[in-house]
Amino acid sequence: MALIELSGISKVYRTKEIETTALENVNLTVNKGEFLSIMGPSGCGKSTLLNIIGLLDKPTTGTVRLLDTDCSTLGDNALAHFRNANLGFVFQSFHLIPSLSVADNVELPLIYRSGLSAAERHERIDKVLERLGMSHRKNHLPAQLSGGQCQRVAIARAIVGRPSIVLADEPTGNLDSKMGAEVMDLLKSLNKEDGITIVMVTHNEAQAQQTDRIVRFFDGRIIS
Amino acid sequence: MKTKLLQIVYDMRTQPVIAWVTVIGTALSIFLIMTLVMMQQVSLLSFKPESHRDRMLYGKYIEVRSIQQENSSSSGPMSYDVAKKLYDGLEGVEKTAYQTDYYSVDVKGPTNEKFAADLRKVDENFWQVYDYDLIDGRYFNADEVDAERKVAIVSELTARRLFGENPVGQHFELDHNDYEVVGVVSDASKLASEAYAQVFAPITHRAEWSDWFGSINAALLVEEGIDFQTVRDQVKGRYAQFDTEIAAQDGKTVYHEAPFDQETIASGHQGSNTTPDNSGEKAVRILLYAILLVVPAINLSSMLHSRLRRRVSEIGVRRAFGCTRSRIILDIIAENLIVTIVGGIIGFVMGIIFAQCYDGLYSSSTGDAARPALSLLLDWHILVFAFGACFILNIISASVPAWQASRLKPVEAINAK
Repeated sequence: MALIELSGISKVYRTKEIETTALENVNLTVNKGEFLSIMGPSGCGKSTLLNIIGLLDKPTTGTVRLLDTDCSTLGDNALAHFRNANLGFVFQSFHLIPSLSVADNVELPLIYRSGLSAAERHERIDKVLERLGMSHRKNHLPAQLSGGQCQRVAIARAIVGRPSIVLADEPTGNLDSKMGAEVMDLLKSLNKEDGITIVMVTHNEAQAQQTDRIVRFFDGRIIS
Repeated sequence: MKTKLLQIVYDMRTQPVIAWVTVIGTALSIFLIMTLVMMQQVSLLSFKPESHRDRMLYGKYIEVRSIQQENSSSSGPMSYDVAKKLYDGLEGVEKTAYQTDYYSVDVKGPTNEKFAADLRKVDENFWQVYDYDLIDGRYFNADEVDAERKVAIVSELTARRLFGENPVGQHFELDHNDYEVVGVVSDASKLASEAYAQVFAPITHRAEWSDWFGSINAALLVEEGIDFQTVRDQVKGRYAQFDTEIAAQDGKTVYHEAPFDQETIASGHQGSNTTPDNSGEKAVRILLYAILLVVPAINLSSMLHSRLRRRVSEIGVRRAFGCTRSRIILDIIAENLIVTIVGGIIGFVMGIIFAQCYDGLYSSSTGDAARPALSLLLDWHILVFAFGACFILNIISASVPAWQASRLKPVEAINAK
């Protein structure tokens, strides 16, 4: 069953002087439970594609269907609710909020979701932090954590809302190889054990090889 | 709430200058507004000895024009006779007192150097219209006023300065005349501008400057439940009656909505030949408050903008995880409101401290007992106004930066440096 369906996606950035095509007629389908990696040189449009799948950016042309919903027709609030309910994000630079503790960072997607009591939120946070081995750092600030720990917290934040899809933009890009391997193991376990569909942008061929499928990009187009 | 407080603490740590300038700027703005509002309140609300300000009307001046030469007019306080003609025995008025404004004169006790004291000449009704506490002795009576006897009532502090102890029955020099002290009353604040004085002596019934003009005001204590307009209507009739009497002397009064209420007195209306415009003065006051709010709000807004610039990426991340634009705006406004309220509380406390010192600064000679009570200054109007001002300051200062932050595209915000 297709969870992500991109049809005829193109993205053109226009300024007064110049027009840059970041994506050109991209068609892509990702099935439920698949772990897909997107590879390609810098500037080829990988992250742009990930942002479009994540509904953080809009394509110039084409349609995005996620979980059988045509997202091109959704308004700003509906997009926010859709992201909150169905998508999780892991960024290369972690993007944890420096003023908040680990637990408060992880709680972020839950505070934008209605119908969850504080007790339910805390239970979920405790569970996910325990799973990622970060319970002992629950009350620490991001500045007190290592890079690997930050990325674990970021992953915890991405999955605490139990999304169907996790989008990871070079999640190991800022980590050493040992930490990178740990993060990859985590993502694989989320994919295998929880059935979360993962789309990961990476430059690391070895890590890409560990995923179910690799899509290679060049100049805004899928080349294989 | 917890995350907002954490964010504020974090801002205080990481951007201390901007954060503290925001708090202090807010505090000063609120302080300034509070001080103005409190001064306004003090001039409107009742406190001893002006305990019935809500029932007081004041006949301060008359203006008389020449019938033949319309551009020729005279105006000012009335003579005793004119004041009586215009204000005596009005229906709905419980008591009318005739008095002068206070003015500075030299006084000298039996054993000390002469010093300046504020004298107000009053009649016997003054003590019933106003709410002085008689500490010692008695008030002077109608016979003493009629006879212009050289008797005086002094404030407690002035009595101590003049005589030390047992002032009643003692004599002192008042404006080069010998006066006997018959009573001592509690000290009053200069903020009670219509009742305050340090020395009280009987008014003169004699014509002073002319038949029409003198130095007399009328203070009317209106009965409870009586509409001021009914009193004004009667006074207007008295003006018309008076016009018939002075027409032969080429005089015609100009009616300026006399007698004035406390709001007019509080507004500082001084013109003896102009009609007070309370609504106009209120509009000017509101405009002044608005300027006092908008100017700091613009500065606070630019500081909030700076604070938010460092949080663009965070806003992007929040948007990615499902925060709506309206929630971004509300969160920023709520965070800013907390900072504004903290600044507001500091400003409020500063305002209270200033208000307590203010009367002392204004007139150190009136003594501690003369200050308006703190409970008066903490009237709920002031609290509502202070926190209303905080709220408006917050909305004005936070709206634009919050709106701008909410308009950021998530992808651009996340990748912002």
